[in-house]
Amino acid sequence: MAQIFPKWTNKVPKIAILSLVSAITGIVFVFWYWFSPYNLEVGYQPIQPVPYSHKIHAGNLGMDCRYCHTGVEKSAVAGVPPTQTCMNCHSMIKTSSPKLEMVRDSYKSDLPIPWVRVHKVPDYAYFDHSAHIAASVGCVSCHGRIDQMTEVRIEKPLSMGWCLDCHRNPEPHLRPLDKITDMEWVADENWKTVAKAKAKTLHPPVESCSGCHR
Amino acid sequence: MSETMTENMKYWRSVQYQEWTNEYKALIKDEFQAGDSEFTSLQRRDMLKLMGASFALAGLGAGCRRPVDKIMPYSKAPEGTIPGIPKYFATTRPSVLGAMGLVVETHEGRPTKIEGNELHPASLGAASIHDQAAVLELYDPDRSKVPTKPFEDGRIPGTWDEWDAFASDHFNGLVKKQGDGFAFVFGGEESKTLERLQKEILLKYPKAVFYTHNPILPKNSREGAEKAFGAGSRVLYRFEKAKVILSVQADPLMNGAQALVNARGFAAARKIYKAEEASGMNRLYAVEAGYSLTGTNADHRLPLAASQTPDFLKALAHELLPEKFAAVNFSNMRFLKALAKDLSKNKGQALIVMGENQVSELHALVHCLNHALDGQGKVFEVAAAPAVQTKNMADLVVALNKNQVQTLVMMGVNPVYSTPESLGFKDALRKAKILIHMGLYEDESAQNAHWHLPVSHFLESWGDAKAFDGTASLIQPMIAPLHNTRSDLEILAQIAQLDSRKGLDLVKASWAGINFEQALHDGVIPNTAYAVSSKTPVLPSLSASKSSSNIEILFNLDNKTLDGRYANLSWMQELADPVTKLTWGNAILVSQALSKELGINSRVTTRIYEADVVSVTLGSQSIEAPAFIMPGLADKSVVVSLGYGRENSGIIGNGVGVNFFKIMPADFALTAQGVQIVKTGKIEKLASTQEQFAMNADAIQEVSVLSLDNRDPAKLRTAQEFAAGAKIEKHPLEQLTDAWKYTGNKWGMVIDLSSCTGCNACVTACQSENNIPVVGKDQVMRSRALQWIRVDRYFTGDVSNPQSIAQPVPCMHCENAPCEPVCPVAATVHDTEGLNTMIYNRCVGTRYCGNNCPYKVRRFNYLDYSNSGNIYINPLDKERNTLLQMQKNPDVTIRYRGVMEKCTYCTQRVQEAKIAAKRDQTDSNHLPDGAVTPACAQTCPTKAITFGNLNDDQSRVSILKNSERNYNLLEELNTRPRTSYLAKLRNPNLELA
Repeated sequence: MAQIFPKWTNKVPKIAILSLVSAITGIVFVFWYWFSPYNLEVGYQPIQPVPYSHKIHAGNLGMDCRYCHTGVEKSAVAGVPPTQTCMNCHSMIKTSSPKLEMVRDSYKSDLPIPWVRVHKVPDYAYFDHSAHIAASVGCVSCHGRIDQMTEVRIEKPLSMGWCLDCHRNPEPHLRPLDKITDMEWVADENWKTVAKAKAKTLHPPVESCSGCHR
Repeated sequence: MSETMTENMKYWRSVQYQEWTNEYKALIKDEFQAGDSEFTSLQRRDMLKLMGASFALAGLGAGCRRPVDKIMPYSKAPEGTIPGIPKYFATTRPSVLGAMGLVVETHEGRPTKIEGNELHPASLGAASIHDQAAVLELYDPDRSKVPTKPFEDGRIPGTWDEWDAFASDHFNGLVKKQGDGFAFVFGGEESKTLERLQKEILLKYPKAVFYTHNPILPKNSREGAEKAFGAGSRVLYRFEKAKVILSVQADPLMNGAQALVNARGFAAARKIYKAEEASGMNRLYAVEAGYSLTGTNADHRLPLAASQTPDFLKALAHELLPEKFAAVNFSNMRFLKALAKDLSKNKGQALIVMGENQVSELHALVHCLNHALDGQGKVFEVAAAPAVQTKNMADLVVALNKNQVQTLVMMGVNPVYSTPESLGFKDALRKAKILIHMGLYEDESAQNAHWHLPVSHFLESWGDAKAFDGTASLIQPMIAPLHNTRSDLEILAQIAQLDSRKGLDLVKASWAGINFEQALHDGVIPNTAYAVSSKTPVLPSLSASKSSSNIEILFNLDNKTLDGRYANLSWMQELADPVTKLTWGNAILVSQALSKELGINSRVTTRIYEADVVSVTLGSQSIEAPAFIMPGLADKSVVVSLGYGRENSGIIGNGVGVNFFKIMPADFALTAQGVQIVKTGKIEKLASTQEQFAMNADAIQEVSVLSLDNRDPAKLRTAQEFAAGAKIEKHPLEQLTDAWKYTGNKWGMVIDLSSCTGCNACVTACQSENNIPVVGKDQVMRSRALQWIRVDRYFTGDVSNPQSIAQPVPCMHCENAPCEPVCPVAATVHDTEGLNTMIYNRCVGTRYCGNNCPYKVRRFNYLDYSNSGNIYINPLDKERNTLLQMQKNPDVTIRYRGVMEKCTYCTQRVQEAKIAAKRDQTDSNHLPDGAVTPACAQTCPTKAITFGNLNDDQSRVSILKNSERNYNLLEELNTRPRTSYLAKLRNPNLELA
């Protein structure tokens, strides 16, 4: 009597087990990698209505972040500047640049420029800029090298786990209050001892949900 | 627990509770009952089918990346604006009772929350439910948005240009006729600019006539004061100086111009923390036919028909001034003599307050008695207001019927709804040729008018208004008009044909010479209060009283909708009445004795109140209404509240309740004899919350009542005896595990039941601060109301005249919180400062926590209430929400369907205070006392709620927690609640005890 199953069928269980394992691994990997904020958030770089370049303004010209983002030390939101702030300079500089058409229109018509939000935490998370600035955390820690970006993109995942990494160990991210907006500042040995002491006084919410969720 | 309870409960919530039947016990045992999670009409299986379809469809449209989100900065930022930081402005809410000074919180130009203004004499920092709900009125989607013009038999939407064209033509014609046939109906609000404009109108139209219509105007009180002290006189009370207060058919702690001030003064003398202070405690007597909020706070209460009140007062007058008044026989001489003795023993500190439903002569008599008790200048003052002569609605009906009125302007009034049917106003109105209605809504009167002009809300316009004591303050706009509206002053200026018609210019012209900026900032204009007069009262001539044994009916302004003007505010509709606990409607309140006589068998079944419908006939008018059995009413008195049964108030208020204006006597008398009540056999379901979220029977025992005699210093108790006399049960239980150590802030709250009057202001404050949606009548009847604070009302004693206690119950923030271990997803956990936090984005809606909460303070979003436009009618109608969402507090998460929520101790305010400390580089882990005030504590008129840091020995809350009166609710469960209560104090007269 001939064999019911040919010889090659001996491999079927092995192939089945192998493909099942790789399928599970694949699914886990897909969720772990592509569905994580490291992939979904980082790199988000929408096209803005006005081709404003942080690289020119904050990098080449060396303007301080707080010239435009005035609320950052006082309020939860850093604030996108009113058109008026742009026109402080651009009423005299590049007054006929076609790239600034929308800015001039907005100033004339009193209607806002519809900027596209880049950095965003969910509505149920209440991030406060002023608390972080007061705690000596610099802009670059969360936003990356804005001074090198022509179009702003997300550098950090802005996920809860990423927040907690710093809340659990804030020390490496602290800097002197007068260097908050400095993108190139590097800690020296002297500062590292200061930061160690400072970190103990901060009490960032770690296991206290109400610190961020209201 | 319940098995050990006696046949009759000491503290009970309703008549059925008192009977304590087995059926009833089963009813209140569980928080969630069979069918509780059923959808309104859909069953669970249908729901699952729908969900399957939704899931399948959801996959088609959604992508991985989040949707594009826009940031809209200002083009030119207003000076001093920092996005994310709220601004606070003082303004004033005008009212015929007297203006209320407010402080309005605005976020980027959106008013979101209203608080009281500490500098304003009527507010003193507190705000009533109506003041706070004004912000909802501003964003009401049902407000009228465009002028309407006459078209054939009705009206169609028009434009202001069309109105302007009509106005210039029509009013020029009237100017030529010197205003002959021109009449106005005003609401009677007092304002300098309004008075000035009225004078301007009279200059243009010398023959124009002004009428006043306002059902909330305290007509008898004002006339009574004028009869006693001369024209223009008004009587102002000083409750804080009174030791014995008698309230006769009145409700001075809830209604009237001085309600918040009275409550503050009354409660100040009931905050007794030590035995030595007990002699300063006041005593309140209430003599009333209905059961008022003041009655719930009384130490002694006597149910007395309104018709027997003249006899009572005359008998009291004889006891106090035997030489001037003849003896009158009164049914309860024991009460009367003890009361009279107490009053005369406390000369200079005794005060009698009279209710609106008694005639003005009796008000004058009471002023004479108060004067005889040496109270003038001490417990009451006479203010010299300018005398006002106004014509009322009866005069207008006569004039209309004589064809003397051709053009009628109705400003801010709704007389077609709020006049008695027997007055015949609606028919008389047809005699006028041009009817112009100005108001926030296209209400019943607008429907009968030719022109309707939408006016701006007071939060959108300039103006000024006078408080009860004459203090003037400015009204400033918080936001540009949301709709195409004009302010009422601007329209009057147009009618007066003034050159300057801008609201700000009109107000500035009235107030030349003051520091305008300062007055705007402070919210009061200094030195504008009425002068105090030292006139002595004149005894009125009293008519012979007619006592009758018929059933009498009392018409009260509703505690929530007043005369119906707030009927479209869902916060007001869903608020449980402080005394009846009725939401979404009114009823005819009858005593238990009368209900037995009439065969009325209304009762609580499951979570709702099944009421027998009765027909009520007064004179020639008849109406059908559900009957509600209310303990403590005078046997032959039935009580109804006005302000319901609106037909054109908007989606919220239309058709809710019964309009009792229809059967009111034509002279607006608030009491009437000889009402006939017949059972119809129909049954109506009422949304009474009195049996919802009932705690286990043991909880009620904890509402302890002290009695202490403070009149005899020899009987003053020591602190230990005070505690012993308090009969506060303490259940000190051992903590078996190590308690968590809180090193930084340790938040806690104390609620003083002795100061709490039960006015509900905290509930509305919480609702507006925490974005708590309204669910609608159908959902309330399923026990799904979402308010985070419920004010439980307990009765104690006999059904015919029980005492009542109010107990606000928010989340207790237990240290051993029963809700936390049962949550499968750790969505409710403790934070490092002891707050029992609710993490909405983790919650999956098992409701285990709610089921395990002994205090029943957790609320579940069965449906998507937040986005359904403040009433759950149609979840797909998102249109309403576009306006209402402007009211939301941006610092609090909007909760979606399927999420549990509860009091958070206003965690957003705690976090803001901590961040502010961090910003200032101070210690955020040790905030100073008073750095955080939750919304409920902030608005409480009597300051009954105290919040603070328990780790700070000197904080107010720590000091109160050490009081002998402090007790924990259900302490025997060892939940270790952070919120505790100070036991209720009563001050009974031993002669009556």
